[in-house]
Amino acid sequence: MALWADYQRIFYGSGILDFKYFPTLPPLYYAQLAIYSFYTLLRIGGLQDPVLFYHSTYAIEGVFLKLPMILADMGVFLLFVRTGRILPAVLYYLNPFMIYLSAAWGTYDSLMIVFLVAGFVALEKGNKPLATLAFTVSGLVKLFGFIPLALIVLDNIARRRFKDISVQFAIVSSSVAMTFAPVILQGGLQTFFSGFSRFVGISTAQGTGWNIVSALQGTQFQAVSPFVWIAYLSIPVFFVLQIRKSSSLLLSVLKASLLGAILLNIFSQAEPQWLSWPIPIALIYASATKRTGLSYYAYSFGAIATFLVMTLTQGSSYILFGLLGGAYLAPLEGFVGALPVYATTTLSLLLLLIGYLYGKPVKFKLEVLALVMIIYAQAYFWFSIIGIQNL
Amino acid sequence: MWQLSAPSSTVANLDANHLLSLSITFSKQDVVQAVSISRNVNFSLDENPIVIVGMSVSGGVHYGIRFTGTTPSGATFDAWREGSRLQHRPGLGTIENVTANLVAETYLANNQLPLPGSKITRLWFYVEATIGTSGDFSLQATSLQAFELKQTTTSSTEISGTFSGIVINLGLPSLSQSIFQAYASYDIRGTSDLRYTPFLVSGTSVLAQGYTYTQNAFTSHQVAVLLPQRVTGFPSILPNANFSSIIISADAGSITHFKIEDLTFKLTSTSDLGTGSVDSNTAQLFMASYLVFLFVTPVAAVILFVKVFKNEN
Repeated sequence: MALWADYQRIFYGSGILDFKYFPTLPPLYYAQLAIYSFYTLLRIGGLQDPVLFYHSTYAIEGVFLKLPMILADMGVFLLFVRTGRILPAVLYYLNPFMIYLSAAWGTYDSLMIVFLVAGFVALEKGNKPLATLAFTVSGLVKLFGFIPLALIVLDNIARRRFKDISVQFAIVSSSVAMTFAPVILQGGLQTFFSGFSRFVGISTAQGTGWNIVSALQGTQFQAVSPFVWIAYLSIPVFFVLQIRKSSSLLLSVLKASLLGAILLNIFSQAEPQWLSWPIPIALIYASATKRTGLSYYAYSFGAIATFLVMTLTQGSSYILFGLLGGAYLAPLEGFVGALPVYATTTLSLLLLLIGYLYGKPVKFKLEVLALVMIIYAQAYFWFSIIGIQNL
Repeated sequence: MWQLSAPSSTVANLDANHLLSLSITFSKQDVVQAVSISRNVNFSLDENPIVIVGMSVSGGVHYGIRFTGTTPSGATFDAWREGSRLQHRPGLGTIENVTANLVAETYLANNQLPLPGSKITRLWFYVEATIGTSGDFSLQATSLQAFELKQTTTSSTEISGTFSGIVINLGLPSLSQSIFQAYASYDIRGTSDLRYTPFLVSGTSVLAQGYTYTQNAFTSHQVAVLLPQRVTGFPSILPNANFSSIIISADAGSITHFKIEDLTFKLTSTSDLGTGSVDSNTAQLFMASYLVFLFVTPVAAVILFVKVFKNEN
C-alpha cells in the first residue's frame, strides 16, 4: 500500500509520472491514477484524512487506492449475474479471500480476474475478438491472463484459421503498444524485463518462495523453482489432449487454464495472492458443467486460503495495524515452521481442487474441511513442534 | 602447527603436508557435533587485510572460518562474528574461494576499527554436523593467501578490471530520512562464478539490501531493487564512515566490468511497517470485528442465500 500511495502522491504532489520503476505492469498505475484523482479533489476541498494506527497510508486514501480492485470484484459479480450465474456470483463476491485481497490487503489480482472472466464470457458467446481483447487486458495486468489467450491462438493455429490469428495479432500488438508506450518513452522496459524474467524463470535474483518445493527444500531458487517448466509444458499438452476429446473450446480453455493456475501455484515461486486465480475459473467451469460440488469447494478453498494467508504469511497485525511482527492471533500465527505448514496445506487444497476438477461430479461435503484441518494439524505437528525440516 | 579439537564420539585424521586435509567420521548423536582445527598465522591488518581461502568441504555438513588477532599492546580481539557469511556455510563438495575482509570482520565483531599495527594471529576452521548426522566427511584447505586492499578510484560511470566489490560514493552525508526502496540500474560482467549482492549504506549502517544475483545469460543489464526489509548481511567491503554509498559486493568470483546507469531513491513520507504497539483492548476489538466481517458475515450470507433459493425439487 505504501508503494501505491508513494507513486500517486509523487504524481499529484509533484507532477512526476514515474513509469520507469513502477513495480507492476502499467494498467494498475493507470487505474489508480484515475481513481486517486477524486481523492486529490477531496483533499483540495479540505478533507482531513486521519492516520489509522501505523498504516503507511491515510485511512480514506487507502480506500481510494484499493477502489480499483473493489470495483473489479463488483465487475466480476455483475458479469456472473448478467450471464445467469447467480450462485457463482455470490460465491465469488462473498468469498473471504477476494474480500481479503482487494479490500484488506490491497493486492491487484481482481483487476486481472475481472478481464479474465470477461474473456471467458465473450468466448462463451462465440465472440473471439472480444475474448482476445479481454484476455489481453487481463494479461497486461498480470501475465497469467495471457494463458487462455495463448490456448485460443494455439487452437487457431492447429485449425489453420489464419484470418482469426491475424485479428488476434492486431488486437494484442495494438493493446500492448498502447499500454507500454508511456513506459517505453520513459525508458522503463528494463524494469519490465526484470519482472518478466522473474515470472518466466530466467532471472538470476535469488529469493525464497512460498510454494511447497521451495518451502520443504529450504532452498533459494533463482526467482522461480526449476520445476516451473512442468507447469509451462503441462498446460498446452493438456489443452491439446483435452480439445481432442471435447468439441467445446470454452471448456477446454477453462480446464487447461484452471490446471495452469493450480500448477503455477505449486511449481513456480507463487505469491500467496495467486491462490485467488483458480477460484473464478473453477466457478465458471463448475457452472458450465453443473458441478455444484466444485462451486462450493472453490468457495471453501478461498475461505481456508484466507485463514492461511492472514495467519501464516502477512500476519493479522500488518493488515489491521500496519505493524510487522505482532501476533494477535497467537498461537495461530508467528510460529516456527509456518512456511512449510502453509505450503503443505495449500498444496493439499490445490490437489483437492484437481480432484474436484477431474473426478466424477460429487456433492460438496463439509468433511472436506475436516480433512484440510487434519492436514494442517499434521503439518503443524511435524514442522512446528518436531521441526523435521531442521533435522 | 595445526591443533585439532574433536569430541570423543568423532574420529578425525589430519594430514597437513603442504595442503590441509581433514577426514572426519561423525557417529550418530543426539547433539550437534563439531571438529575444529587451528594454527598460528601472522597477517598484518594494515598491509594484508584481504584473505582468500581455497576450501573444499563435503556436502551434508557445515563449516566456518574464524580469525583472532592482537593489538600492538598485546590485547587480543575477535575478527569473526556469528551471522557473518564466513560462519556455518554449507559444504558444497567442490572447491570454493572464500574471501574475507578482515578489517570489516573486525569492525563488525567489535564495533570499532582495528588499531593501527594490529595483526591476525590465529586461524580456525571448523566442521559441524547437525543432530543425527553420521558418516565420513572431509575438509580440505587448498590455499590460504593474504592480500593488500587495492582501491581504484574513477570519476567515470564505467570501470573495467578485476574487482571484489564496487563502491559508488553518493557524495552525500549520512542519510537521515527513512528509505522506502532504492533502485540501481547498471551493466555488470564478471567471472563465470560471480555472485554478488548490492547494498545501500549510510556510514557503516546498512539501510537497504538487494537480492543476491548471479550473471544473467541473456543480458548484462540489471535493475536491482534494494529494500530495508531485506537487510540481513553486511558488504565484504567496509564502507566509509562519513558517506552514503551503494556497494556491489561480490560474494564469489570477481567483477570485470561495471557501468552505473542510474540510481533512484524513494523515501517514506509516512511511517512504514513502523514499530509500535496497540492497546490490547483496542486490538482485540478490531481483531474481533475483522474476523466477523471477513469470515462470519460472508459465510453466513452465502449459507442463507443457498437455503433461501434452494430448488423446490
